[in-house]
Amino acid sequence: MKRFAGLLVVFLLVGCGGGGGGGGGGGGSTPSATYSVTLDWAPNRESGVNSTGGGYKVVISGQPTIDVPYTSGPTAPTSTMASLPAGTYTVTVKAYAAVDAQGGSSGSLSAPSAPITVNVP
Amino acid sequence: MKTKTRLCTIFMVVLTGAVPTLSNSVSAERFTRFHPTAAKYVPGEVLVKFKLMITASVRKATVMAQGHSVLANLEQPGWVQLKVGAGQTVDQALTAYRNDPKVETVQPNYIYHLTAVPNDAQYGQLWAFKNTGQIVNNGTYTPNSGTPGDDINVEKAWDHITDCSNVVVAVLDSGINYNQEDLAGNMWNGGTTYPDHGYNYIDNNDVPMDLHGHGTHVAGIIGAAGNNAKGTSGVCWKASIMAVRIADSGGHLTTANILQGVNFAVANGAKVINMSLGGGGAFDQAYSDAITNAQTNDVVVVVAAGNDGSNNDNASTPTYPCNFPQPNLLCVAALDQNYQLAGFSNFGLTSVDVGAPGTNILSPWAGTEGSITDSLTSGWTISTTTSGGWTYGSLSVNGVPTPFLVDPGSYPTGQYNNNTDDRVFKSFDLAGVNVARMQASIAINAMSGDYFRIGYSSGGGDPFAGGIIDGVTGVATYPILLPVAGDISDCISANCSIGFQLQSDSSLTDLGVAITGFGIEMLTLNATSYNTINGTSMASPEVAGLATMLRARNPQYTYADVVNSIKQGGRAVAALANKTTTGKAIDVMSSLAYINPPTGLTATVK
Repeated sequence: MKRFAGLLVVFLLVGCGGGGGGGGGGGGSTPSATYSVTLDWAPNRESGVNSTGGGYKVVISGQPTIDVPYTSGPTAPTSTMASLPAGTYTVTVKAYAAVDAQGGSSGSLSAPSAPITVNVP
Repeated sequence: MKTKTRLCTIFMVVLTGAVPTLSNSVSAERFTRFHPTAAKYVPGEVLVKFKLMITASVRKATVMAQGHSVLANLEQPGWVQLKVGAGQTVDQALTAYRNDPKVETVQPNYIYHLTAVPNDAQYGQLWAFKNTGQIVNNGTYTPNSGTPGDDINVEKAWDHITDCSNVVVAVLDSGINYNQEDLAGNMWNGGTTYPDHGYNYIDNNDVPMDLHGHGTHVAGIIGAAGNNAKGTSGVCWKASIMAVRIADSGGHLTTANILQGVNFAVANGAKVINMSLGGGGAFDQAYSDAITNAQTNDVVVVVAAGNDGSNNDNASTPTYPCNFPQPNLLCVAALDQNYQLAGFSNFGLTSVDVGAPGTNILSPWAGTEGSITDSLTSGWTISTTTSGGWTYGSLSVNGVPTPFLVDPGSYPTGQYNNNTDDRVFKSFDLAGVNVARMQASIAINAMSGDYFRIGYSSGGGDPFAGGIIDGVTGVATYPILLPVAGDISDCISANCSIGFQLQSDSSLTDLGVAITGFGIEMLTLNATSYNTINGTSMASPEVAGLATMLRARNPQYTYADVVNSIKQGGRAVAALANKTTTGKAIDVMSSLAYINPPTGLTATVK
């Protein structure tokens, strides 16, 4: 599994480098092009969000959705970091849990939080 | 239940005959044990809220200066329940306190009622939980056959949670038979202070036994033990149900009872309160304050929409508590087995929130019921100190000849005697029952100084010689029959005599008294009774059960989370569109899976 994951990361980086025309290579080697954005939100109070199979999805306009799954402890993580090129983004977060509305395991997802606008830089 | 029966035929006689006119206002105010069932508030009582800076000693002096006395402090800051002084009306007392700068607000002690109509105990099928289209045994509501799938979708939820016992849910009602086989294991643990799982504000003791049946039924819908091979199941299979008795054996309750009940539940850790009751019509400030106290303490309050078939949004027919605006309050309409709005259910686009099953609902009951009726045609012992007195008569009620006990015999065209003591009584066998209630419909015209009395004695014989006696004077209800009912449980014996007396002084007489519709209703407590009944009272506890389950599943939930999950997780039902704020029936599994949108999102750019 780890090997596959590693390969996937390499391919993604190559693709990214190609599209941007920048200097490929390792992450963070072009600090002038991307900015680190930290996103925080309040923990949901559903037990299903704060247990195995639960978590959050952070949706940033024009970017891949970031999955923030529950790992351990009383609550799922309520923070994540994104590297974003300069621009204006709309960000929302949704919570999810393992059980669906018919009691099955296809999962359920909340409506998005109130959106915020993030200007980078 | 009809509150007034007009004696149409007799009324015609009044118009043409030489008899006294109705000079006295209709008033049965001086009965203390027997309640006129149509009264809107408790005679002789007001609730006063003093401004908070007014000290207890100043309060007491103010009340005494009015000639009033304090009946109870209501476990809500500033509010006290007062007994109005002799000779004063409630209106006079309201005016006096309204004009007092020390007083923040004053109101009558309103009377409310439970919202269901009981009938025979019966084991049946819980269509509300799993609608297969079944016919419910002894269901009285038509249609009594349903549409499969029209249910609250709770079976799927039971795959995830059945135990709600980490959340205390309070049933504010007629009490709970906490010995009932399906409830005994699911009652709140009140420790040594409340060993019987709650409190009784009717008798002011810690024994909240249900002497009516309604509260036991409501409790069973929330949390009758599931999967125990007995009786029924509640929404929760395991629960922690607090019994708060605020309604008497006739289902009557007042603002004062409700305040005490709500505040007891809140103070003792309930996080969900069910109140399957309604009434009023006027905005009740004290009641509203109690709901706000619950909100302040993060308590969800689930209430019934009412059983008048009316629109609660209509300014002329508001129903409380349903119409209170607090966000911790959920008001519930009743659906039938095909998810049509039940014919009796109130509704309201701005006041009623959701619907839930409320027809032909089976749940535990407090015991077995019985009744004694008496045709008033024979067997009564009659005496008088003058002549005439009580006699068996027949009068026309809505065109139907009806037996009456009347005094004088010429009622309503004559007058009773001066200086007379007319008595009539009969003995009934009430042995072995736990509750007995007498009811009758009575037209009373007695001049001030003359008395009509109801008496009863557990020892038999003339109840006006040593029995328990309740009387009125200066009352004129003719031609209206006043339905009168009262608890006579302290008459329970094999030889309970019940009687009526008309006693006059030497001046002025009036039409006299006519009595019909006499009966005794009885309840014998046991641990194995069930009953199938209808009402928004039955819909409300399904929602309270769901609220309890949501809090059990999600211990961090606030009242707002619970309310939102119930509303958002509901299932759209056509019959509830434009009749409720959500247009939805509750869906337990869907609400359990519902996730509130995250909040508080912020970004920090480096």
